[in-house]
Order: sequence, then C-alpha cells, then structure tokens
Amino acid sequence: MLISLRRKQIVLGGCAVWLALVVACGSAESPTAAPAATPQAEPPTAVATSPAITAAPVATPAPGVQSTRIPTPTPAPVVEPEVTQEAAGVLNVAYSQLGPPKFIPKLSGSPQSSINVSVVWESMWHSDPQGNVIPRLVKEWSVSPDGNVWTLNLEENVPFHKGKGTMTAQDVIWSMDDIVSEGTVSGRLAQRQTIFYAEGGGMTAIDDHTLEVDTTANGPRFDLTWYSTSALLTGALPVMSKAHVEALGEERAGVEDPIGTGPWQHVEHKTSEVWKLEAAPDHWRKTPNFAELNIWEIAEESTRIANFQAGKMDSIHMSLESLPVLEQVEGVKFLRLPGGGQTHINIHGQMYIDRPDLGTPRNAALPWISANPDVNSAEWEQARKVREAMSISLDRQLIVDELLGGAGEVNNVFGWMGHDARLGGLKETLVYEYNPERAKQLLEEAGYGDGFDIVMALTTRPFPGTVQMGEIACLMWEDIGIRCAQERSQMSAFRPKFVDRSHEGVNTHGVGPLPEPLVTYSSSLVSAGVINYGIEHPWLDEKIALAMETFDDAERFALQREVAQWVFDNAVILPMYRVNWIFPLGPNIDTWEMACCDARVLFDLEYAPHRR
Amino acid sequence: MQRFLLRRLLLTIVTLWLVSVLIFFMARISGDPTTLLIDDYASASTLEDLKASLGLDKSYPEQYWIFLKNAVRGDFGVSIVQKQPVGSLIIQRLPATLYLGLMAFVFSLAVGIPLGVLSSLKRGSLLDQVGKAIALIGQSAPPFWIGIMLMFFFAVRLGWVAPSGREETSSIILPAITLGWFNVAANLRLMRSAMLDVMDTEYIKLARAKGVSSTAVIWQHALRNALIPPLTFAGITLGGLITGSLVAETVFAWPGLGQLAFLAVRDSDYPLLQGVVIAFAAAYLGTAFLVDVFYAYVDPRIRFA
Amino acid sequence: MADNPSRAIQTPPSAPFRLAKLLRRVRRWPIIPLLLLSLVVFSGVTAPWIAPENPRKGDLRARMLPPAWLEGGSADHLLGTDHLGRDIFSRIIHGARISLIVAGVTLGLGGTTGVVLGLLAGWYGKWIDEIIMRVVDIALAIPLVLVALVMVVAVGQSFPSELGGQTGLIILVLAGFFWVRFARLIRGEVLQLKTLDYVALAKVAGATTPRILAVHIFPGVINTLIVLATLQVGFVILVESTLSFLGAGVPPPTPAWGSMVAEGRDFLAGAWWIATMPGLAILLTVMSLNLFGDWLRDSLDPRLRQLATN
Repeated sequence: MLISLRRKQIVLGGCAVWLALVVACGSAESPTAAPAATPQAEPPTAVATSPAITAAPVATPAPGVQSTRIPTPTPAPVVEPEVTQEAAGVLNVAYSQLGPPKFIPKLSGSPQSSINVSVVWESMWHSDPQGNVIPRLVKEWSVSPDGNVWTLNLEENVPFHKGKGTMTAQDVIWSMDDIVSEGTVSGRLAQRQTIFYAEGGGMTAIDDHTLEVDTTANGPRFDLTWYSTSALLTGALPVMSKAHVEALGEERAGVEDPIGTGPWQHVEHKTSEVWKLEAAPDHWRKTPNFAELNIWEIAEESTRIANFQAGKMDSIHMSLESLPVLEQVEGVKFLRLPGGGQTHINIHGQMYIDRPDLGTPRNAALPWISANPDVNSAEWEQARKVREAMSISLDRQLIVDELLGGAGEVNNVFGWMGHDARLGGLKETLVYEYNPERAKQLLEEAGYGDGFDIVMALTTRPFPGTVQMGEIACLMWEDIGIRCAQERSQMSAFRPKFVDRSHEGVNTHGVGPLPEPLVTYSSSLVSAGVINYGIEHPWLDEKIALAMETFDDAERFALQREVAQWVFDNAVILPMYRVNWIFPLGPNIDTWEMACCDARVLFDLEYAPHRR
Repeated sequence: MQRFLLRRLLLTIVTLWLVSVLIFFMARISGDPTTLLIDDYASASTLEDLKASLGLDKSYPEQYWIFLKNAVRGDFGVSIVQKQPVGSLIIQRLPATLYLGLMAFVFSLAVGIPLGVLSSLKRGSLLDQVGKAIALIGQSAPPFWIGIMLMFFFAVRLGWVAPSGREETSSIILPAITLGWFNVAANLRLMRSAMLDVMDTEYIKLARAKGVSSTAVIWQHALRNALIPPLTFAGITLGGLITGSLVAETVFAWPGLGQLAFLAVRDSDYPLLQGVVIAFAAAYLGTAFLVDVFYAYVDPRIRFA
Repeated sequence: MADNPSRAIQTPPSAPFRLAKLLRRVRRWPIIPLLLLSLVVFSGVTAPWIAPENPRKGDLRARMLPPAWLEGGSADHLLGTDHLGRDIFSRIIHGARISLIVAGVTLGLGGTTGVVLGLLAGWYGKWIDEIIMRVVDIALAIPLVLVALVMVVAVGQSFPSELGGQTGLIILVLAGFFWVRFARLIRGEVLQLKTLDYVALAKVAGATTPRILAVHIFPGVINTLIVLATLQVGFVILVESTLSFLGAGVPPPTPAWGSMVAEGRDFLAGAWWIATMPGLAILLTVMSLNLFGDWLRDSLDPRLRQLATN
C-alpha cells in the first residue's frame, strides 16, 4: 500500500537544494571570507577616534598638593555644528543584552545601569577610559585644605524630563539616600556610608545648587571624584528627581517611568526586546541630532550582523571576527575605542586567610596552592612556580595578533589598562616573557614534570574573545602538560562560586576601563569583597586597605604599584590582553567622539551626527 | 462520560502539581539569582539583606508552601531579575508565541499537506522527490542553523523580509518557517498514507465508478476525509511547537515565551522559571486533555484503552 | 493518547527480522543513505587512524581558513579551519564518533528503560500503568530543553568524570526524556498483543510472566523498536545541537557535531564553513537515518502509522 521511494533522488535533491542555499549564502560573503586570517588594517572608510580629552586642564585628583581645582566650566566633548537643528530621524542600535527595566539606581545592576546612564541619566562626574574626570552635573568643585570637606557647585537650569522640575541639591541628596536605602543591590555601600553619611558630617545643601560633603576629620579621606566615577562604572550615581519618585512610588518610578536629566527620555520599554526613547527637547547640554532612539536586544551575533547588513540597525555590538564582513557593508564607518576592556584568567582557591565561614578551605593538594601563606616559605615558592609556568606558557602576543586581529595589546599587569603612565618603570619590568621551555622547567622544579589537571570554566564576559581566550589557554597549556577540563558556564551559574570561593580551577574573566586599578583591587583581591577573583592574602588585604584610605594621589598610586608588583611576582592572576572596542556605524550616522565610562555601550549618542 | 472527564481532569491537575514540585526544586539547585543582581563591589551584608527581602532565606519547604499558596490563587510571584509579576510577563509575551506557533503550524500544514497529496498521487515524480527532500531537510538539520541561513539568504541577500524582531509584518515569515519546517515531513507522511487509505476505500471507488472526475474525487471527497489524521496530529504537536519556539525566538529576537524561558534559566530567576515551565506544562497538558476528550467523544471505546 | 486500539495488529509476528522478506526487497534498498551511514560509522570507529590532524589541537596562525577549494584555502585543511585553527575535516571525523556515542548511549539507556516500563505498563495495567503513565505525562509536559539547561547549569560542572562529566550528564538527561517515546509505543503494542490468542495460550500453558514478556511479547514489538530507534538517532543528534546552541551541549574541546555547529554560528556571516560543514554532516546523516528508518518501517511493518510522525 505504501510506496517505496527512490531514496537516491531524494537525498540528491535535498543536497542540491540545500547546497544551493549554502553556496548562495556563502558566495555573498566570499570576498570577506578570504582575508579572515590576515590581520586587518584600518579600513579606508574608518575614522579612528580617540576619547575626547574634555575638561581642558584635566582634573586629575591631586588634592594633597592643590586644595582647589576649578576645571573649565562646561565640557565641550565635540566640535558642534554651529546651527542648532531640529532633531530628526530614528537611531536604531542593537546590543546583545538590554537588561530588565530597572530605572532606579538602587535596583539596577549590569548591564542596564550602563545603558541607563548612557541615555536617560546623567551623573555628577563621568570619566574617560584614561580615568580623566569629566564634570557633568557638577560644574566645579573645591576641596578644603585638609581634604575633608568637598564643595560641589551644581549646574543650574538642568531640567528633569517631561517637565518634572529642575535639578537641585536636594535631588542629589535624595538620590544618594535612595541608593543606600533598604533593598539596594548597589555596590560600595560601606564606602558610601563612610563618605556621605559620616558621623557629625554628611551632606548639606548650602543652597539650591551648592552641596557640601563633609567626610569629617575622623574618617578616611576620599577622593570624591574618583570614588564617584568608579561608582558610575558599577552601580552608577545618577541624579533622580526626588519629587517624581516620591509622587509615583519607587516601584513605578523604578520600573515604568524613569525620569532623569539625560539627553534622551523614556517612551517605552519592552523587556528583552526594545527600549524606545526620544530626544529630550532643548536639553541643557546637548539636544540629540536624532528625534528617536531605539535600543534593541538581539542576543545572537549573526542576527545583529544580518540586521546591520540589511540596514535595519545603525550600530550594533559586534565581535572582532565579524569585522571583515562588516567592512564590506556599503558606507560603513567604525567607531574605535582603545582600551575597551582588559581580560584575565582567574586562578581560584588561593585562600591564604583562614576564614571559618568559607565552605571550601584552602586545598594545598592543588599544584598552584601553597600550604603555607608565608611568601618566603618553600611551599609558597613551589606553588608560585606552578603559577608562573601557567603564565609564561601563554603566548599572549599570538593571541592578540590572531584572536583580536591586532585590535588590542598584551596585558601583563592586572587592572592597569589606561594607567600605564602611572606605572612608571614597572611598565618595562612587569612583563611575562613567553617561554614554554622555562615553563616546563618550572613545573619540573615544582614537582609537576608530568603536568596536572585543571578545570577551566569558560565564563562569558562582554569583552571580545573572552571565551576563546580560555580555549586557547588550554591549547597552550597542553604543550607543557597542563590538562584542562573545559566547561561552558553561564555567569549566573558561576557567580555564586565567586561569592563563596568554592571553585578549584581557573576561569575566564575581564573588567572594563577603571578610574584606578584600586577599584578592582579593593573588591576582587581582598577577603572583604563579596566577589573574589581567587586570591585572599593578608598582605593584599593590608596594602589595599591602606591604599583605599590614602587621599594623596601620588601616595595612593605608589601603594597600587606595590600591589601590582606583588601580584605580578606571585602570578596570582593571569592578565591576558587589553582589547579595543569597535562599533560599526551604518550609512545614516557619522562618527562622534565618545568619551565616557564603559565601552560596553555607546555613550554620548546625543552627539551622533547625521551623515551628510 | 462525566466520570471519565472528571478523572482525566484530576489526573491533569495532579500531573501539573508534580511538575511544579519538580521545577521548584530543580530551579533552586541551578544557581543563585541574587549573586547576579548585586554588583561586583557590593558587600556580603548586601547579599544577605537581598536574600531576606526576596524570601530566599527561608527553608525550601517553607518557600514551596508560600509559592503553592499563591500559585493556586493565580499569583506566581514577582520575577527576581525583571521585577515584574511573573503572570503579567507571561501574558505580555503569550500573544507573540501563540502567533508564531500558529503561523509555524499553518506553514507545516500548508507545505506538508499538498506535498503529501502530491506524493500519494504522483509517486516518484521529480516534483514528488524534490518536495520530499525539502520536507526532510527541516527534519534533519539543526533548526538554529536553518534559521540563521534563511536569515542571511532572504533578509540580507535578497532583502525580501525583515531579519528579526516583530516590527514588520514580514518579520513572522522566517521564524515561522524555522519552527514549522520540522513538522512538514511528518505531515507529508501522514497525509500521504491517509490519502492512500482513503483512495482505497469503497466509497471513493464507488464515486469513481459513478463517473465523478478524478480531480473532483481527490479534492472534494478524498482530501476532506484524509485531512483528519494530520489535523489530529497537529493538535498534539501544537504544544511541542510552543516549547520548540525557544530556538526560533532566540535566533530571530522574537519576544515570546521561549525567549522568556531562556532568560529565566540564564538568570536562575526562580519565580519566572517556575511560572514559565508551569505555563508550558499547562499548555501541553491542556491540549492533551482536549484531544483526549475529543477522542472520547468521537470514539467511546477509547475510554477503555 | 495517540494509541488507537481499533488498529490492532492481526498477524502474530514470526521471525523477528523477516530476513527472507527483506531480501526479496533488495532491489529497493536505500543505497545512498546506507552508504552514507556506513561512512559515518566507519569514520566514527576509525577516527584516530584516518583523521589527518588532532581534532583538539589548533594552530592560531591558521585560524578560520576557508575550505581548500576556495581562495585562501589550504590543501592541508580540506574543509577549512575553525576559530581556533583546528582542522574541521578531522573534527567532523572525530565528531562522528562522539555524536554516535551520545546517540547510541542515550538510546541504549532510554530505549531499555522505555521498553521495560512500556512492557510493564502494558502488561500489568492498573496502578502500575497509572504511575508509569503519570511519569510519562510529566516528562512530556516539561520542556526538555529547559530541564536540560537547568541540569547542566546546576550540576554539569560537578558531575563525576567517571560518568563522562558534562557529556555524561547530557546523555542522562536526554535518556530521561527519550525513554518516554519508547514506553508509550511499546505499551500500546503490548496492549494489543496481549489480547492475541497465542499469548493467552501461553498463559494457559503455565508460562511465567517474565517468560511471556520475554519470549512472546518482546519479539512482537522488536520491529517497532528497531524502526523507532533508527528514527530517534537523528533526533538525538539534533537535540544535542539545540542544547549546544543554548549553551548546554557537549563541552569544548570535544568535537561533537552539534556543538561544532553551535560554536561556529557566530561566524556564519563571514567564515560560514565553520558551522556549515558540521551542519551538512548532521543534515546528511540525519536525512539518511530518516530515509533508512522510513524504508525499514515500510519493509518491516507498513502499518506502523504512529511512527510516521517520528
């Protein structure tokens, strides 16, 4: 009853149809396929951009020497078109992740706080990737000679969106109160308390646009600008409208109706789909050139590429591998940001502070862990050799050349991206020379001539090549006998291990540009941090705590250099590379100078010009 | 009949409850959403406070009891990460998934049935072979790969349709094909054998003998009767289509339930994960229940099987 | 639910494989699918000897080379290299082995469980049937991919390496779902078989239950089993690829076809061969399996309508 088919023809037919499709798709891109292996040169159309050096005499904190710093009153990030034109057109950008709709600083984590602060919010200060301070809502500031009392002069006539009043010092105080209030997910709570809520000091509104912050003589002295710009990277420190949130209630204001002072105002947010915004009319700083802005969430790289190729998106998150393909798109330009991120491989389990609260105590049976916390002991030296072998067996230059196509540089010092100038002579001496022979010899000396097994968790971070970097490290380690068991790991699954310090292996990781290395030292390399990158040591705890309390810029950096040297010598973490951030720009928009904070999202979109 | 219905309904509810227990505990071993919420620079006490405020510091049985109490009232809690009620998140996204599922279903029928008819009538012709090959591709290649290839070909190279999202009317086409293609082959096979069965019956033979033209026989008599098995099968696969939407929705950034489910797993968002899985299970069990009822109604013998 | 008791199997099964009948159909053998499948099995078995390169070893300097016949391709890498500079051809050959092992073990575990539970449910009925069918319902009601994702996220890293680590866990989760398909089908068959005269006769003759199940019932379902298993092999390969796509597949650097496609998908716009070559391997293999399965069904038991839906 049932017919037997002529299978041959079906298979052949099927192949033919499919191959036709495959070839068609392939040939579309074939010109781009070939040069994939060659390091790409600057495309002719691209306009290389560097972060704007804004506030003309760069406000680098040096309060010990200089009691008052008055930067130029207004930031002038770009050369402006002379005629103010009516905002027109729609700007579409796609990120891999949009984050949930949380428009209140105390609730927003990564990535939405970065995205929020790039459009609807403005912060008191911003910082560029070099750590230079860019004043935003604070026009100018001064510090008392003892470094304890900060006087902040706020911009005047800064309206909140949709006619919700004008920003005053009261809003700033309220925003700070809110971010430390119950239910916050925000970081640096302890420091915020110490700075802004010091006993006998705290914040006082002198008038509507002048704010005084007294950290008191008893407390540690902080540099407020670097502190708040570092907070900006993580929990953000934007100014919200007190009246609005109080009227609407935190829940609604935080989820449904964000009000800020940024150049874009909220229209509609659909979870994991799109955030629609419109230009804030007559913005105090810069009215956007485009009337509307849609930020899309598109998880798949290929889908983002297809949208960009089809002209649906003006800019997207892209991986460096997609560069050759996007260079073929007609009229494409690229926005390049040096120093978008610094990657590293964490070596876990180095818990040299005996804490009864840790479920996983130090396991000295692991080759890279010493039984003795004393850095002069024989055990320490043995474990150190293993870690050094792990480090010098990695050909970082090859990774930068091939994986990043040259769009980055080797990193030997954890956390110092953008601060090389302050490393001084260490820049030349803190270098891990690639030397697999010596690595083998070190393993031999440490008693692991036959190598050992290690677990590599390939955790995803939003920096180009993070996961592949781990796979490549495993390839390279295999040459000296270190055998990896690899596992792909959602960050959600791995993060608890960062918190409870239970991972006994390595993992791939990275951090963005930092105002100072101390920002990451003070959270990830100390026992007090909620997240730890695998090392807790009394020496680190002590030095980093000291640095945190050091107000003087030069002294603080001297301490940070000591930490850098120690971290390098003991190879407690494996710095990998510093990678540039690249955004493609479609034919509708031109390049602009992007001068802010966190290269994972497009900042200063209000300056994005129409292409003429 | 009533007793049968009541029994089936009860079993469905028991199954749903078991699903809820399973997913509740499974979600809790999968990770910790609170460690994701806090930022890298938070302190340990922030984490403790957060857990307490979310009720996650209570024992599992206690947490389950609270969950169950609320769930029977239709309250599935508030998503830990999205900060919105799980129920409303699901309802927001349901239409997109239903639409996608429906269009995929229509696609698999619209392609599978004509090909099946063709296959039964013109055995071994070139057209039949090509048709079968097309049907089989959908059943033989990873769906996400098919989806991305379709996207680059039809949206980028030809520019016929939108690559992703659901802003444009044409946006539905590619995800629906990606999702529906898998079932084309099954529909083809079902339709072909059903057609062969029907064509073999006395009833059709009689019609033919009476001189009804063969086209009329096929289209008016045979087809109508042969449609029943594929349609029944489609009813069962509809539940599967919804769960299968996870891949199509992720590839095409289609904001439906599948994508929401993926978010829930990625973030270990317990309430959301529970809500989504229970919604999926309810959809599946509901469909199965209706199919059962339908069968029992049509063919009373089924009740004793 | 899909069981249709009105369609009883009338003929008691004779020799399980009906060799003679098969041979008579020799002219209609699906030559090309069989050849392809033999090739896949051959590759899987002999992978370490025939693969030109080490599938886990990459050369970063030869990263993302296109297939040999395209401009920029190298004769050393017939199908090109992937994002870590590994030889795709060698990885596909080794991948055949991994994919076959995953599919084989999954179906071995799932099939055995499913057959045993299906036999029990069908034969004993009553509460045994009820419990088993409830578990079946639960397994069908929970989306497989979600559970697999949750499980891999939760215990993937701590799953004992003696049991295959994360790959072992994936096999276990897959088997935990695939047994259902077997159980349902076998149960339906048993329900019909046990009404047949020869089974009743065996009972009267005093045969023990295990003996009846093993000697009289099981041979009756073996054809169904073979066809179902054949059709499911391809499906397991596809599900594994879907899991890899969602981040819960066979972990790197093991070259399973599904995870190769999933890992290569981000480069599809440019280096399309990284995902497409293993994708074609899956396509051709699964297609061959489906055609072969179709043919088996038609040859062994044309009445196996339920299997038409795979």
